[in-house]
Amino acid sequence: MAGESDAAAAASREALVFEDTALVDATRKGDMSAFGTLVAKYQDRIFNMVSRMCPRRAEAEELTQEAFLRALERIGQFRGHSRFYTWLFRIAANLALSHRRRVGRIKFQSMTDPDSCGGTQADRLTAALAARRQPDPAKDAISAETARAVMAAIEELDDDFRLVVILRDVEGMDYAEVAEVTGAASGTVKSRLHRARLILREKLAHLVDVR
Amino acid sequence: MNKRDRIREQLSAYIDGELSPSQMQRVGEAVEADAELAAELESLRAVRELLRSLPAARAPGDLMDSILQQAERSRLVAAPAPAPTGALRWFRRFAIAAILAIAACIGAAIVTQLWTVPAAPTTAGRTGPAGRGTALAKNDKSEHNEQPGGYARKKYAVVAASAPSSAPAVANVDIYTGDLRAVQRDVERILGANSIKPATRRKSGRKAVAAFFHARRLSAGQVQYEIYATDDQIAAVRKELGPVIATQNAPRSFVKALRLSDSDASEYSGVLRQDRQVANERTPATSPSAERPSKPSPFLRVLRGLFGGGKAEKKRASSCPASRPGEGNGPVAASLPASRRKQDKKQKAQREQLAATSRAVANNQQSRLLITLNYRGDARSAPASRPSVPAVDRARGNR
Repeated sequence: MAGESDAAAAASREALVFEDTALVDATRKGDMSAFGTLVAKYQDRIFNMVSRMCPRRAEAEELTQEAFLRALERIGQFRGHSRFYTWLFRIAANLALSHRRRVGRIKFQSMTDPDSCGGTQADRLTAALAARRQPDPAKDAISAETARAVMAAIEELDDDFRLVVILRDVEGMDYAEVAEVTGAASGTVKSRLHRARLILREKLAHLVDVR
Repeated sequence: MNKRDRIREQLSAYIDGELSPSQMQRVGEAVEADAELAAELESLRAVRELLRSLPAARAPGDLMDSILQQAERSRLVAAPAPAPTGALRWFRRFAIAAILAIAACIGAAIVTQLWTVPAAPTTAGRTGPAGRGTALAKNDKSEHNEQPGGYARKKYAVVAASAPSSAPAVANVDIYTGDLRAVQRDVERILGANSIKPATRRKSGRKAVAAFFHARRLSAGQVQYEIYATDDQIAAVRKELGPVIATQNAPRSFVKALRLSDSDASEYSGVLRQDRQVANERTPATSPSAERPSKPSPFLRVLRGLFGGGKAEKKRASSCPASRPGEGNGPVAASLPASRRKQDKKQKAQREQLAATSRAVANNQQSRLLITLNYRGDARSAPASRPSVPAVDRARGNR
């Protein structure tokens, strides 16, 4: 069952990569609507990742915007050796990390407040992707308090550990993709992820026991 | 590390299915045989499930629009010029070589002068902080007429106008805001209202406008406006920035630091002059010796001989726009076709605009203002917790 879902996810990722290639080519030629499609596809994922790294919502918005603008600026340098979205995630992750280093550690704010997002085209387009990433609605059945506790625990991790955990467990990337985004070796990703989970297990012991 | 520890290290990769088949089998067998390892595996799995069950944050609905707007704007600003062809390419190369040569001459002159003249303390009466822009653009009429280097000074003033990074006075305004985009819009509106326009590029270089600004994004959450304008314009801009800053819940000290109570723009000009003086005192080592009673270096004398002197003055007089045919009201002008007259008129207007800029720089009227917008997530909610703002109204030397 798990194998089938993984295969389906891999197939869908391949399809996205193919589409991305065409969209990136069109963007290179100056087609802003193609760039708009790329933004619509990935804005939620990038925002989700950035907001886990920098929980202040306004900062996350700024960084997400900056990531896309930087991607557009450097799209000529994207050679297609890696996947577009891992390249994009790498830009966003680097921005988030440097932002964190600049402003220092900041106190966690809840990201679980309901957002008043309108039903724009971007929402509709990304809703399908979000649903594909989290096909089981039961997974969302987590209380706001638990989510706050988990986010606070993530917030206390070192930057390297936090990024790996977010990319793997929140964004659902495999180890190779995490390695592409972080620029670390696969073995390093594996050990960082294990250590991060051990730390989180200690911090969330009460929640882990309850569950 | 014993076998059990090695297995333990692989538990995370095991639950993620990121091990080779043989490793998966080995870890699986070890977990089945060891209850402690099995418990550890379950707890790690529970942690993973907790992380996976975090609700996904959704980007705000208008994010895409703002990204695309920003992208369009940056594309317009950074649009590459069409590839030059043929003669234009050669002309550009020649122009670049000429600019480099002039820059090298100026640099060599400054270095030579600093090298040959012993350092003297700066005098209190001088205006302008540091840099050749101030020294060479100082346009005293008597000095202009009497000294052989007068024309060279005039020429350098024009160079300074086209190279505003060394323009004289510098004032900084830092704004800390929770809504960067809104403040950007406000700042640009205020600049536009004061006839300060974005610097545009032409094929032959930067367009000569009397007051202009560059906008640049320093980093995520930090935008800087570099403004070149007259003291009066800068004073007006800073005055109008007051409500913007007040909207952002700036501390009272911030408002005071901006001297918003100084309603008179001319009074503010005095503040700018003080800024320059402070900058002079702070950076004496880099200040040029504009008023040092010293003998010019041989290299500088050669330069002055080249640029200044009788020949140059005569040449300048002969190339004066007013004395050109076609611009007066004589019979030659009447005989020219209308298109040519229009073109001449346009060129004259451009020359006058450039001359106005040069005069502003030469008379030390054009100053530089840096407005830096800094994103602060807590600007609206908790202004008191914001760190102190050190860079307000601070005179700074050249970059």
